[in-house]
Amino acid sequence: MSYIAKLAIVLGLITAVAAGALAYTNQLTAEQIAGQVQQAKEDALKLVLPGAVTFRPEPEMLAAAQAGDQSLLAVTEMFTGFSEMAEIGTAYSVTVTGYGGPVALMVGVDSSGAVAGMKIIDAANETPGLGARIKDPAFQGTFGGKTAAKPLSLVKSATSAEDEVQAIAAATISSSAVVRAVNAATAAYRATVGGGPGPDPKLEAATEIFPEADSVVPDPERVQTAIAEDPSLEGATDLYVIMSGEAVIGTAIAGTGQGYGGPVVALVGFDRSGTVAGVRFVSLSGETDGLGTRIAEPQFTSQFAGKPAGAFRVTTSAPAGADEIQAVSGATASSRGAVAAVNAAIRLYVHLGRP
Amino acid sequence: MNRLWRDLTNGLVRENPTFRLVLGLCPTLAVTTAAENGFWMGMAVIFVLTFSNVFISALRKIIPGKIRIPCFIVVIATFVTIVDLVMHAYLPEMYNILGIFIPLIVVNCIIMARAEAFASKNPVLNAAADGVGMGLGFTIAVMLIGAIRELLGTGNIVVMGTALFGAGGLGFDPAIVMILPPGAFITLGLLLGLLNSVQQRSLRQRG
Repeated sequence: MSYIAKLAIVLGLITAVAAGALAYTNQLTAEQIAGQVQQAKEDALKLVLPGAVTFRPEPEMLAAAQAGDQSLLAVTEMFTGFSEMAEIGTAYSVTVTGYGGPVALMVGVDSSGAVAGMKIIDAANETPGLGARIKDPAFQGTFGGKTAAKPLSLVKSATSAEDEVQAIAAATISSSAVVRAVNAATAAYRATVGGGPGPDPKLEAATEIFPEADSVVPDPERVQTAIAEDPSLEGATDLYVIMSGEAVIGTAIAGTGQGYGGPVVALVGFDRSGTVAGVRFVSLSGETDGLGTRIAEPQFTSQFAGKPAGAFRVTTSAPAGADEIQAVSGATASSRGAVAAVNAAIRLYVHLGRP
Repeated sequence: MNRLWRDLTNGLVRENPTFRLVLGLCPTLAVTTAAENGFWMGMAVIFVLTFSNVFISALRKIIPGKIRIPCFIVVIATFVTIVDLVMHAYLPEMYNILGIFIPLIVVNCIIMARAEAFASKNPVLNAAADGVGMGLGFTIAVMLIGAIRELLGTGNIVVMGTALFGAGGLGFDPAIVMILPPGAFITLGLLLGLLNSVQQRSLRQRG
């Protein structure tokens, strides 16, 4: 027997025995692991919807809501919970990016429209002793009883209003990830069973850019026609005509760009002279908290205002020309996505002949 | 019998894998944010190290020298996967915390080093003793580092959900840096220095 054949036979035998041993172990543990995962989910569901005993997954309802609003993509699962006789409420699994990695949690909303409970499922990558304290019962408990009718806000000092949540000291990024996840869950609640989608962030952003506006009129047909004429414009999703009394004072267009971890949606306001009146970022759920999310801060967004509506470019150094936008340091990918979103809106604006 | 005892205790102090051989630092630095993490990591390493040592020692006359490394890796990877599956099934909490560091035991150089330097040259019983000893030495080291970091970084040590020093901890302001990555380097560096100076002093007194 040649030496090579001997090597092959020995190694082959060892790997065959190893494969057999692993197949056996897998067979022994597979059921337990599946049960463990199922049990953990069921325990969390029972915790966030007290009183419910059976749960029905609602993938169609969630998919329908997500088709209408991309910011709901952070919600991965939706369940309706039932007690012996009645419907108790709905529960949502949400995954967002925390300080060190994904933070997954479950939020229950009862039939009265209040948050019934919140349970952190996975925060393994948050710093032990700091960010990991979002798992403390005291913090998780603060969400019970909050309204699901509007988003909650995070404050660093003691809370003064019903819709505020106090951040854990030295763990603002992890705390804010939790608040964002809970807000995504309540937004999904409003978009599915909660009667009406609640305030539209794009409309809110439009009134923020044009404080003197009385009415903001959506015009979806013009967007569809333009995209039918030129498919490369499909980054633009919505168009609003801004009115003050009888007069049209401007136009607002929503555009989408690819950010660091998902789509970034910008609402760009244009005044009658063809100048950018202002930019707001209405959806950035895939961006890293504390880095990518800083594209929503005035320091970045104010760079667009007052400039002529033409394609912008990203630079990492000090901007030299009017068309250059300085990236948020440490968040170049998010900044590129932000500028791409603004440019998508501007392309539609130019295509429509700068209305 | 005497020889077996020496092989068992070898890994505890004389050739402690963490403090004397300074091997396997990746998990040592990464999972030692709490004493309990260190304990379970240590248990996983003891299991893998002992069984891979035993099997490699038993197969040492069959495995040709030229393919010994792939053979060792297959044996080690098998036991690591078993630990991974069993932990996932029965210790889900710890499985979440230790995460990627369980599969990474495959490339932990302590295990590879013991297979190559000891198990492939010694009888089965001695290899088992060496595996248990080295594993215990690693466990003690990561638990010690974990306990120091947890105590200084959070003001308390939590074992099985119970705080050892009461709900309020020891009542000092915890130094958060100790449970962040720099704390691992600081703790390990100071411990290595301390052990070296103790050893040198005892050598001088003897000599």
